[in-house]
Amino acid sequence: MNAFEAIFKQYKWLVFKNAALMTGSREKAEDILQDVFTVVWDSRHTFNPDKGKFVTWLHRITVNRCISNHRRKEPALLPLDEATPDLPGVNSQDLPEEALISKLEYERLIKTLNRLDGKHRPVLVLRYFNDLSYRDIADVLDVPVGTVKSRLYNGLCTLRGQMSVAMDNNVAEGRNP
Amino acid sequence: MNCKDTKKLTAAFLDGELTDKEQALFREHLAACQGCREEMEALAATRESLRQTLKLTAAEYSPSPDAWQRLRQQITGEEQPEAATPKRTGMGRLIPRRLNWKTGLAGLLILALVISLVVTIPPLFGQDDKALAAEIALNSPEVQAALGGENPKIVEVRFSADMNTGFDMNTGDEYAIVVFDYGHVIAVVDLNTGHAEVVTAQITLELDEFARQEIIDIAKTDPNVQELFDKGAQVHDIIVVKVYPAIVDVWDAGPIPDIEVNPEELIGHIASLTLELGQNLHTVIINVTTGKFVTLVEPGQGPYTTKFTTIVGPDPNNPDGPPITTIIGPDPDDGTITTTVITP
Repeated sequence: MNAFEAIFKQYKWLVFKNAALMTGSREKAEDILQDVFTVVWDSRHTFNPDKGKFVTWLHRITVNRCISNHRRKEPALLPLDEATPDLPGVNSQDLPEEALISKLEYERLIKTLNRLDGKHRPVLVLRYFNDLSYRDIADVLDVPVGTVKSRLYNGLCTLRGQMSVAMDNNVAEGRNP
Repeated sequence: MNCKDTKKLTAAFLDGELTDKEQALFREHLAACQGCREEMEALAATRESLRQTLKLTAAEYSPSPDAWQRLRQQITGEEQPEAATPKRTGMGRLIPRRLNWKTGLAGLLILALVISLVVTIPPLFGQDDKALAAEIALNSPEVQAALGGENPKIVEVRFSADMNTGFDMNTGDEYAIVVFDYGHVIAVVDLNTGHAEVVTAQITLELDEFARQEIIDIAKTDPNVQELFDKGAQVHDIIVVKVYPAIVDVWDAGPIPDIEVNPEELIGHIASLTLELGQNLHTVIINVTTGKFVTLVEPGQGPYTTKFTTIVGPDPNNPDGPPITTIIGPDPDDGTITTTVITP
């Protein structure tokens, strides 16, 4: 149990943050954290490191849990000007100096990210938060590398498209873009 | 390559995931097509914004403090009661906290050195001298500042003469090493002058993504570290400690075999970045204060650079008896993480 506790404490941040980013919900991330490590505990005698890295395995369980959670409760597509209360608020003064992103852009991205489906969102998180290679993402999701490529491209295009719509709406309504 | 094919490869191009041939064709098309260039620039901006958004958002999220208790309850089907935890007194109380702490350190040279000296050698000096060393350390303004106003708990006091380790320490018999609160702060006390100096103070076990990235970026300035990342190394662990100038007093050249570090390079906020590649752990030591890479400890060179973590410490069931060895690592047969305790 001591070794398992050490593993939990080492990887809980990784699993929790990924689950929160993939679901957009702190509460769901708490449940997924519990689920993921229950699977790890139940599978502790069967995990074979020769068949893959432990972190890849953890990512795989996390993504599967997030997708099944997503399927169970398909979130309603939010209008872009609706608040997303589940996501943490970041004030512009909290942004580090080197951050190039504005508060408005941040809020828009969070909202559009929250509208992405369960196929595209995990791929974007695995790549742009975890810096996983396309090969590693393909291993996590058990899909061909080509699928990773197209999901990343489509995901980025969707984000860009939604951001442009939000910006156009703001301009039309006389707000600052 | 036409516009449709080019656009589909834009994300992979930005992520450096195209083959040389694909990249050449992509660039060739881009040079001739303004529309695709604009598309790429727009996507690059979205990609960068997304990166920052994910990192900022993630920094705000942290699991609830009772996550482990809930999990433990779920998998064992029983409450994890405070009362069921054996009351830890004396040296025995060291074991559970140190186990986690040491596992988390995974390769931190300085603390590993000092702590391993502290925990492995039986005491030779009398309690009076230890009490004196402890009192000097407790009354030192520098030690108090390093403790940050916390109620200090002295975990262990050892004298340099006890440390028959083969390492060439500059400390004489009159020096004592005082460890506070599970290695949080380590001080050296000179009993002749009554002077105490802090050697190391642990900063934090959890870093936000920006701090982690800064440390990784400094590590990558070393070509050997960059090569490890290129080969697919993953960040296993990052720990930061504050190392004080007194490190020079207790560190002679090469205190750990095969590793030559000028102790003056270790003064400041020192990060230990452990990288996992295959079955091996490589440890990169970085001075965050100066922004400089210090050294790369390859597997087998320093302590804790394999997947097996070995901890030598007092037996919680028999604190006054001989020390026990605890080994945590993958079972060679089935790879499951196991804890093996060896009693002498």
